[in-house]
Parts: sequence; structure tokens; C-alpha cells
Amino acid sequence: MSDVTQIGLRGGSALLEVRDLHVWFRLPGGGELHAVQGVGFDLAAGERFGLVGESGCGKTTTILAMMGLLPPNATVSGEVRLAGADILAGGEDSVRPHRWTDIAMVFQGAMNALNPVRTVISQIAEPIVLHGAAGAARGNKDRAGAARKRAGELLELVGIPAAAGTRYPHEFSGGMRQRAAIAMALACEPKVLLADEPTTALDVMVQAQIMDLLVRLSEELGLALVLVTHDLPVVAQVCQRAAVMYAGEIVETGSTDELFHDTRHPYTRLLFAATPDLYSNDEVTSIPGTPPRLDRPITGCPFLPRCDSVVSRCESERPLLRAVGAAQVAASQRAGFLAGPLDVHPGHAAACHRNEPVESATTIPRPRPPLAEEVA
Amino acid sequence: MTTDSVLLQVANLRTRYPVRRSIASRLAGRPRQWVRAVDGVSFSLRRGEMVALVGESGCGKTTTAQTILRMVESSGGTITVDGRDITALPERRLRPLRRGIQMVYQDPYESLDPRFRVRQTIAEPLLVHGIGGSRRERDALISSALERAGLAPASLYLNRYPHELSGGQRQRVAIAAALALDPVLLLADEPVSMLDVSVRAGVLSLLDALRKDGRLGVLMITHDLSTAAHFADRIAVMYLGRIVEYGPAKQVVNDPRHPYTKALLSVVPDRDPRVRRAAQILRGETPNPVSIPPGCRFKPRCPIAEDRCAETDPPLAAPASDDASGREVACILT
Amino acid sequence: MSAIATEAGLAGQVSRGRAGLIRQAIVERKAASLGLFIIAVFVVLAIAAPLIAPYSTTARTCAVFAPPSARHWLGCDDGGIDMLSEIISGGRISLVIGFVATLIAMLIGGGVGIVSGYFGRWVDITLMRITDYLLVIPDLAFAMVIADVWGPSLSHVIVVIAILEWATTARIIRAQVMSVKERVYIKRARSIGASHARIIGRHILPQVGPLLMANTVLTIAVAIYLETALAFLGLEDPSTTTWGTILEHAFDRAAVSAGAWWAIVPDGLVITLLIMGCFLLGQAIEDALNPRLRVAHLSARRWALRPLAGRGPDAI
Repeated sequence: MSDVTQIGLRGGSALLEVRDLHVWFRLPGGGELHAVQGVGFDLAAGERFGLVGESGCGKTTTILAMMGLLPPNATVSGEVRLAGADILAGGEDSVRPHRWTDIAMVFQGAMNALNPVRTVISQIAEPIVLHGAAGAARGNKDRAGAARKRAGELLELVGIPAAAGTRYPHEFSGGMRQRAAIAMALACEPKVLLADEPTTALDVMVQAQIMDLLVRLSEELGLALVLVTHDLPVVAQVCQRAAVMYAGEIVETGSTDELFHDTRHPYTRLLFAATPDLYSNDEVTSIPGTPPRLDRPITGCPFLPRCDSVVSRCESERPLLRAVGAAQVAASQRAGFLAGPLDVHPGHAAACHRNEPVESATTIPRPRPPLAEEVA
Repeated sequence: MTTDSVLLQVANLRTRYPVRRSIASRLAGRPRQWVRAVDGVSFSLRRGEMVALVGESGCGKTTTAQTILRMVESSGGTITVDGRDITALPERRLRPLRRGIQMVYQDPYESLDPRFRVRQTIAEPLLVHGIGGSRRERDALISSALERAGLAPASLYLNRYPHELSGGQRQRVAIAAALALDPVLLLADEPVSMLDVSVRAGVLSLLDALRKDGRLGVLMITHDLSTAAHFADRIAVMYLGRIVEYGPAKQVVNDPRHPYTKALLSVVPDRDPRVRRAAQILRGETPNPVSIPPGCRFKPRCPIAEDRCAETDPPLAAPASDDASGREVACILT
Repeated sequence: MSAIATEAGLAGQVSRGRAGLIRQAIVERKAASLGLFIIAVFVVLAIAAPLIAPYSTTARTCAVFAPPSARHWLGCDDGGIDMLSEIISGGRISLVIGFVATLIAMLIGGGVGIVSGYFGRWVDITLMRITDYLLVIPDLAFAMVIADVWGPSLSHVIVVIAILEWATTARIIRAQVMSVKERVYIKRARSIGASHARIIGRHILPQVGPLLMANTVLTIAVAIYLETALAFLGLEDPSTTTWGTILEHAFDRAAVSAGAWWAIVPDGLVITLLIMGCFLLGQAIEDALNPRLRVAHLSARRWALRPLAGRGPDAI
């Protein structure tokens, strides 16, 4: 599904490269569900990347695939390159050595994933001992002690006093448990952190604290962060770049600025329109219809039934993720509906036929003016 | 815009839960402690109006709704619905009045009996209250409730089971079940927080439309200030069992007076990445309603607190400035 | 798994109705189908017993402890009575005892469990104290005392087994009811003004039904076992023929030293077989009802890797 040549970072400075990731699930009654359909993106050290979408779009499955944590009825294809080497190549055996030590995950509902009968600090120390990290290497005599000390440091890092670590999870509030879960994920000093809906169940004030924490961690530790969420404003404020997923594929990707100010895919635009804003009086709209079933092949654009700016090509041809290039930008500027100069970002791409030059467009009337029809 | 009659009047409502004591504490004669979930809440709701109770978890907004519904017993104050004091009515006398107050719950995946078809779910309230003498009459009422809730044609949904419906559709079925009794007051507890973003506006617009056609008043419980700002007429911001700010929605959002409201608004993330608000992130988390400090309960976390704040418990009153637009703030510093 | 399934758009398919679950459990699991089959065979044999038993169970038709032969497939017992006929007829009585005792236990246990779990507070405390006393009493000692005081008879055996069994069911059902009671649709029904009877009858009972069914099947197994034990201990009317009395007679009349294995083993086998069948079915239903028991994440099988799908010329 991806035809992208210039997506992502310039000059191969990527820490993590995901290429053409597909995930299929074998269904109990036979048949397969194509949950992830060709997802790819790059991540540099210290970068915060958002993976946005609604339930069923495949964002959680994507990061689980990156960690090799899929159930037995899953089949994966594609590459996940960590510092150049594909960790998926050998299946579970090639992923395991990197799990937690290079790439770690904070699960959805992590605050409920803490073991209630063990102290918080012991749970953070556990992966340190298991992976022999941070001074708790196998040769070390006092592994447990070194691990505890390191666990205490991690708690301080996430804003919990180390002394509080001797308490049990039920004595922690929701926000503190989420921090503890983040500390646990950081136990073995990974380079990449995947966070699945880390702020979803939290109050807005606690959410702000966690968002602040994640930004601080990526800036101070050079941690690369993939933030999976349905919450667009959180991504807008925390992440530098993001990808919007729909029906298992990325429909638009680029910097968060580009996604909001130069939206190229109708779904992205409608998603923003469906998100109420505190101070604007714009009408909040909903998107009619439901996402397509992924257990059948889809012809044409998967967003077609719900899109408000369809052209004739949309029915027959599935749009590929294509870079928003200089030509398109210039054409838009000529047609007068993009004010001011815009840099061409090689990292901005969308999977929409309207983003490309079209010979003839039969459009269904829609609120915004149509894009220019011919491009040089 | 609509009739001016006050539908719901809540005055100084209190609800508290006892904290379980161990036998040792009981024997030692230590006084019983109470969780003061709702600690003196007063507001009103008119027909055709939507009031949003906004706050973080533990502020008492859900308990307030449950108390109004009489699912939980209050320990003080009064609840008046359509002129009648229902605070202490015995269950038998309350039952016929239950028709008029209906609640829509947060979890659309749990609020419908998985074994009941849509028709049966909506028929149930009718059967309980003996409305609609024949099956045909009931079916007509059911279909009209479904269509009022946006599920048209009703025949498409009548025989489905909940697991055959999407989250948004389930929530609409729950709303239809509430509408079947033709209530005057609708309590919506986080009606869209478990739905996908693209579906939320549809359900919220439905609630909006329902109260605009004049008969219904809607009390919406939510933690989402943006939603409240968009759909509600008035917002009541709650903290630790009290309303700390109350007024017309747009005014509360654009010109907040209480420091808690200001802090809350400042940490709501904006969907425009270029907008970077100066976030006033308060330290710590909402304290336990068991141990509410004397004086202003917000003082421990308040960025502008002074010493005198610990001496007086500020009442919810019009602010010192000459604002006559129905604003109320519980702060002695504004 | 369910999070991923929802993600993958299977939300509707994953949460099936409970009745469908039982059917699915039985169809999918070979063990359950086998269990059901075994139980069905025994029920059919029990119903048809008078028609298919080759010989009488009261009149002597062969020599004492005669070994299996062409005419007497399982030989004869100490009284010269055909073993096969005894087992078939005995099965009938044993099954009746088992089923009736279980039915009574289910009715009492289910009722107590529902009332206790739904109403809570002092009703719950009182009922559970009574239940606890019964749970604590050692089964066989209690049975022996009752049989001694009351006298051995079939109906007494049924009552004793029912008394011993309802307590466990009550506890299990109560736990389920307490959790169902907290669900939002129950609260919604209360807030509409539905009566307790309506909520219990329409909402709680259907939810609890499948669990009750699983428990019933498992209790039948225990009832059969208890009947055997009671008879073996001489607490049943010796003139009736049940699987238990067959064993009791055999040991009483020294079948072991006479080397007459056919007086013991076949009987023991059918008891074991029926109990096993009940367990297979009961466990399968329980497993199907409790998704948390699924252990897919502990499976030794892993996700599979598929070689990169056809890459176009401009793929990365």
C-alpha cells in the first residue's frame, strides 16, 4: 500500500525504521483478518511520533507487532529495523533479545497491569535483574541490590519519590501507577518507547503531568517515543510528527503542524472537525458510517463510503501513500486556497487521490473548494 | 427560548459514605469517618437547558447524579423536580415519578442486557410502568423512541442484539430506552467518553436536539471541558464535592474566575500544534474526600492561595465584580 | 486478545450470546462432545433398562460367581444373578438417585445463591452462615449418622445427597450473582423502577443459567459418587440394586478372594465412565463461560512470519 520514496527522515539518521508491516489474524471460523496493511515510518532518537486512529484501525496491533507480542493466530510480514538490523527477520527468536532492552512498551491500562501482591519497586527491579542491565549483570554479586538502586532512580526520574516504591500498587493513585508503568518500561534503558493510550483513562490534570513527563524523558534521555492514541490534541501537543491510521493503513503522515494546517486526507480533516475545541465556535461534526471490514479485500479507497470529497477514481483504484510534493503545493497556491509560502516537507504524505494531479474530476459537492485539476 | 419553568432544583445537597472501620477502631471508640462525596451542591436546571457538571474523578459529579436519581440516599439538602420535593420520598411514592427522570450511562457496552433484543430493552421500561396496553401500542412507542434517538428506520434495529450494534448505536438504544418513558429530565453520565471520536458528535448533537425541542432538560456529567463548552448552556465545575464555579458555558471557559477552573482550562491540550498554552499543572492529585481540610478545600493545591484561605470555607456566590450574568464562584480572592 | 480482536473490527463477533457459547463450547471441544455422548448413552440405557436387561435381577439364573461366558457376558455375582442385567438395572436406579438429588440440590442451592447474592447484607450473612456449616461438615460422616438415625432407604439417600450438595452450588451461584448485580444494565433496570422479581427473573437468572447448568452436570458426577459411597458403606437398602450395592455385595461376599473380578471391575468402570463424562461436559461449559481461563498467551505456539509480500518497483 505504500509507494513512499521520501517519507521520513533525510539521510538515514533513523533509529527505528518500520517498512511495509502487515499483520493477518486467522479467524476462528476460517478466513483471515488483514489488521495492518503496509505500515511504515521512521523514528529518530529523541523524536516523538504519534500514531493516531480510532478503535479497529490497527494502531495497537502495529506496535504489538513491533515488539513481537502478537497471539499465535497472527502472521506478520515486513521489517522493523533497529539501528539497521531487522529484528523481525527471525521471528520470536530475533525479537526477544531486543525486547525491553532496546524497545519497550507501556500497555493500555498499564496502571492495572501491576501485580497487586508485589511492591512497586520490586516490580521495576525485576526486568533489570532478568535482563542483567544497569549493574545487575550476571557476574555482579549484589544483583538485587544494584537493581533496587536503579529502580529507585527510575522512580525519581518519573516523578515518584523512591521511598514510595515500597508501597503496593493499590496504594498508588491512577497517575502514579501510570508513572510506575513507564518507569518499568524504562528499566533496561531502551532506546525506543512505545506507549499505548498512556493518558486515556486519566483526568485532564494528570494527563498533563504524564504528557509533560513523556516530553521530558524524550528530551533528557534521547528516548524515541511512539505514542498510540485516539486523542488528537494530545498528539498535537506532545509529538513532532504523526501518522493517521484508518482501516489498517496510514492515510496521512507528516509533522503535526502539517497535519493540522495543511491537511491532505479527508479522514484527517474530518477527525479534526469531530474534535471539539475549547475556544472555537466551529460546529463539531461526526463522520457517518463505520470502518470497513478487514476480513475481505477492499477495492478502491477504504474511506470511500464515508468520504465527503469523492472523485471517480476513488471507487476503482486504491490510493497509495504519496508524498505531498512541490508540484501539488504550487498548484494549490495558484488556485488560491493555501495562503502564504510553505516549505516542502519531504515527510508529508497522504493516501488520497485528490492529493495528486487528476485529469478530470467528477466531484460530489463538498464544503471546501476542489483542488486544481491540472498540474505541470 | 423555552418555557422558563425550573425543572430541577438542587439545594445544599449532601451525600456521604461511611468508611468501614475495623473492629479494633470500633472498640477504641474512634469516631466514624465519612467520605463526603457531595458536600453542599446547589444548582438549577430549566426545561430546554443543558447543564454540564464538570470535574475530575473523585469530585462527586457522578454521585450527585446518582443522588438526584435516588439510587443513592442523600444525607442532607433537597432535590426538587418539577416542583416536587423528591429528596426523602419513600420508594412506593417515588416509583411513578421515576418515569420523569432517566439516566444514560457511560458504558454502552455494559448498559444493555446482552440477552435482550433492542425491542425488549426498550419495552422494559414500558412494561414496568404499565404504559401501552397492547403489544401493538407498545411497538409503536418503541419505534418512535428509536427514531427519536436517530435510529431510523426502527425496523432495522428492533430485532438486533447489542453485540450486533456499534458503540454509538448502543448508546442511542440506551437513549431511546430512556426516551420511551417521555421523561422531563435526562441525566447523561459521560455519555460519549467510551465512544470513538468520529461518533461522539452525533450522540452529543442528539442530546442537544432533544433538549432544544423544549420538553427535556439535560444534566450532563463529563470530565471533558471542550465538550461541555460546546454543548452545554451552563457549566458547573466541581471539586471535592462542591461546585467551585458556575455560570454560562462560554463565559466560564473564556473568562474563568476560580483558580481551579483556570488551571483545568490551561491544561486542556489544543488540537492546533502551534497553540501552546501556559499549562498550570497542579502538583499531586485530587485528595481523598475523607479528609477535607478546613477552610477552602482547594487551598493545598491552589496557585494563588493565601493564609486567610484556610480560615473561611468560601460559599458559591456572585463574584465581587459587578457581573450580573448568573456567574457564581466559590473563592474569596476573586 | 479481545483488545486486539476489537481493534481488528471483530467487536460484534467476539461477544456472543451466552447460549451460543454453550453450543459453541460443545461443538468446538471434542472433550465436551465426548462427555455429552457418554451421558446420553447412559441415559438411554437407563430408560431402556427393563427392555434390554437380558436376565432378571432378582431370580437366580446362574451359578455363584460364574465367570463371563457366552450366555452371561459379565458373569454372575454372589447370588447367581446376571452381572450385566444388574449393571444395567442398577444404572437406572443410580442415575435416578443422581439426577433427582442433583435437581433438588440445584433448586435449593440456586435459590439460596440468588437470594443471598442479590439482596446482600443480613440476608446474605444469615444464608451464608448456614451454607458454611453445611460445607464444613464431612460428607460421609454426616451421611452415616443420618442413615443410622433415619434408616436406609432410597428416598433418604436422595435427601442426604441433596443436603450435602446444595451448599457448594449456593456459593458458586452467589458469587456470580454478586458480580452480575453490579453490571450497568442491572443498575439501569433498577433506576427505571423495575421490581426485584423482575430483575432476578429476567436479567439475573438468564445470566446465571449457564453456570447453573455447568454446575448441575458436575454435581451429578458427585451425586453418583456419593451414592456409590453410601451404598458401599452399607447405608442403602440392600435389597435394591444400584451400582453402589453391587460393589457392596461383591466385597461383602468376598468376591476378591474368589477371584471374581467381573463382580467388581465392570461396575467400577461404568461408574468411573459416567463421572468422567459429566466432568468433561461440565468443565467444557465452565471454560467456555469464563474467558479469563483461556491461556492463549501461554501457548507454546508463536506468531508466524510471512516472507515479504510482493514488492513493487517503488517499494522501499
